[in-house]
Amino acid sequence: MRALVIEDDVDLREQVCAQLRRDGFAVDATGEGEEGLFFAREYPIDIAIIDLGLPGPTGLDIIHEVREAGLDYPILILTARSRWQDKVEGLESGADDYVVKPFQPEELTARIQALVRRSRGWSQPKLESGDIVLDTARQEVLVAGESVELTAYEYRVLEHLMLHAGEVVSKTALTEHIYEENAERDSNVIEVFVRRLRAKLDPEGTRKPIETLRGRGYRLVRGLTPDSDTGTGTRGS
Amino acid sequence: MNSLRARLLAATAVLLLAFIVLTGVALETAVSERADQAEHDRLQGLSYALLGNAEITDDGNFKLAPRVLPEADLTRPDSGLYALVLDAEGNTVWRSPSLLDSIELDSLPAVGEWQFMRVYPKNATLITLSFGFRWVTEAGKDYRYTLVVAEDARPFAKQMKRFRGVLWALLSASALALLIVELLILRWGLSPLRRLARNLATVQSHENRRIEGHYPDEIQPLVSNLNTMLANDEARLVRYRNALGDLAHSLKTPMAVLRNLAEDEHLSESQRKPLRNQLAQMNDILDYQLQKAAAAGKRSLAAPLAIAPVAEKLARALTKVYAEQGTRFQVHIAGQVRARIDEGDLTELLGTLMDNAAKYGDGEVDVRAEIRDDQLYLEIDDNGHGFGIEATEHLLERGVRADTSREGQGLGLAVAAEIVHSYTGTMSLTRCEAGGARVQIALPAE
Repeated sequence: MRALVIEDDVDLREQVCAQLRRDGFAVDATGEGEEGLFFAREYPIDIAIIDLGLPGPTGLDIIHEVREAGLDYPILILTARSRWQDKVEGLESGADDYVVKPFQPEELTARIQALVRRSRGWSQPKLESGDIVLDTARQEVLVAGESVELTAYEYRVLEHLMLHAGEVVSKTALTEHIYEENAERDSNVIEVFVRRLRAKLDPEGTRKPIETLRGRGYRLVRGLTPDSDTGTGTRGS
Repeated sequence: MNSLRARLLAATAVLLLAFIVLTGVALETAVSERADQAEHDRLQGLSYALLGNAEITDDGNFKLAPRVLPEADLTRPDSGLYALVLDAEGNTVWRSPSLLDSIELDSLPAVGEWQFMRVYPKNATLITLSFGFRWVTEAGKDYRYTLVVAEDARPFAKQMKRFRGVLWALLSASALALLIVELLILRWGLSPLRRLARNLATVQSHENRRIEGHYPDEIQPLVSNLNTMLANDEARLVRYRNALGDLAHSLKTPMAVLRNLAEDEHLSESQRKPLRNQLAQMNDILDYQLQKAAAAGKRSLAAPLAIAPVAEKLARALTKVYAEQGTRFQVHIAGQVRARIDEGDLTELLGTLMDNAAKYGDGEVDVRAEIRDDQLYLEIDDNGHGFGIEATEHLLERGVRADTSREGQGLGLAVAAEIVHSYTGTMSLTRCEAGGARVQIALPAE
């Protein structure tokens, strides 16, 4: 998953980025409204965390522009303003949720993961496909009830494939969503990750959870249809 | 004297009275002098006519035959017109037949002089003109006489009295008429001030935040200044709130950084815990004071606000926030429900209570509002387990939460209560029919 953080306070930005990376996100970050707007429009983002008070275009301006451009990835507002009038304004402009500063780190994580899951049609914090369960809250992967150890990149690839279960995901898309903008990229590495994932998820090679579609990409076999949007899960806090 | 109209009216009345009295006195004096002059001239003419017909014998006897008298009245006894001639010693030497007694004069005029005066013998008033003259006979004898012509003053006085009566009646009538006209002029002249007062009342009670319309040059500056004041009042409030908002923003980002550091694994739990607690306390204090300051409270110039759009906006926003739980927010408010409350305050009040209801309820939040007897009644229901019995009073206190297991500031109800109190309203926590919590609020709508 790829996250964009637009926050002008350097310390807070670095804390949020570090936290997101720990949670398995590839993170792009900026403290500049202008640059933030560019990232928000041009990068293949899965979620944006935007501070409202920014130099240059404000957070609200960016959200407006993003929605105007027809981009519908979830946006979480990070705001110091706790008045309801400000919250309503942010949500009406096109954001999906808000977190008021100062916040508990776990709360931010929970909100972000809930937004990402919901945007892909999952209503529960656990993604399931057949006997593979990916617990986004704990960043844990279970196969047939057994815990499986994954590296950060393997986890990102699996999470992306599971959120797009049944869809064909190209190598380029995978690269874009698991790497940050300035990271070294090599699409061959993706093949390595997928091969390792297959070995870990299906050591016997009987279920074949990940299909390769030559020249097009990969597809996670849909073992479980994603729920409709109105689930019964809790907010996870 | 606190009324402009009373002041102007009193001043005008005094002025008018003085003017009328002076005019009356002046007119009366002028007319009475003119009448005296006319009388003087008439008596003088009579005197000449009498002298023209008079004869003096050499031995000094004054003769004037009744048949040659110029006026018939002089021959009729007691007619009111009299003439007599006195010698140097003041003895009567001749009197007209009309004169039965003599006329006493205090002084006699010198030779060649006219003396016009009133005398008052026995309850009568006579206007007299006397003329002193010398008569030299053909024999060369020289006699000194005084001719006195007199007329009864009663008809004259009666005429003057009538004139005076008419004069003062007319003057009083015109004074009264002038006062009435003055009253009307004042009404008309001061009507812009009344209009201004009416418009100010409208500003107080309606949506207008300006005094509209054209006023006379003398009042227009006042109106402009009032409008500037109204605008400044508005602007100052906005500035104040913005400044506070900026303060919050500038403090909260550093606090967020510290809050994150409080999770640092290099610190021991005994270090992290007080750090977290202190930060939470700082944040609560900041929030509480901010909310309190940002609550506009009752302002005399605030315009009535439609309640439904605010509640619906909040319902849309909260539906997003509670998408995970699928909470349904239902607003049952008629479009014409309006109350004199600041939009920020209402948003804060409803937002806090609807958020609370969603947090502690079970997926259903209902908001109702209506106006009864100039009061705005708000009702926020959820379908949770309701407030605990003893919790109700306790919950309104600052920072107390009935269910501490849920996230939230715990300030929600206290903040709402603060806003309600600033509008001199009341807030009560009860149960709705279905058993969930119900918050009832009554606010003055006007």
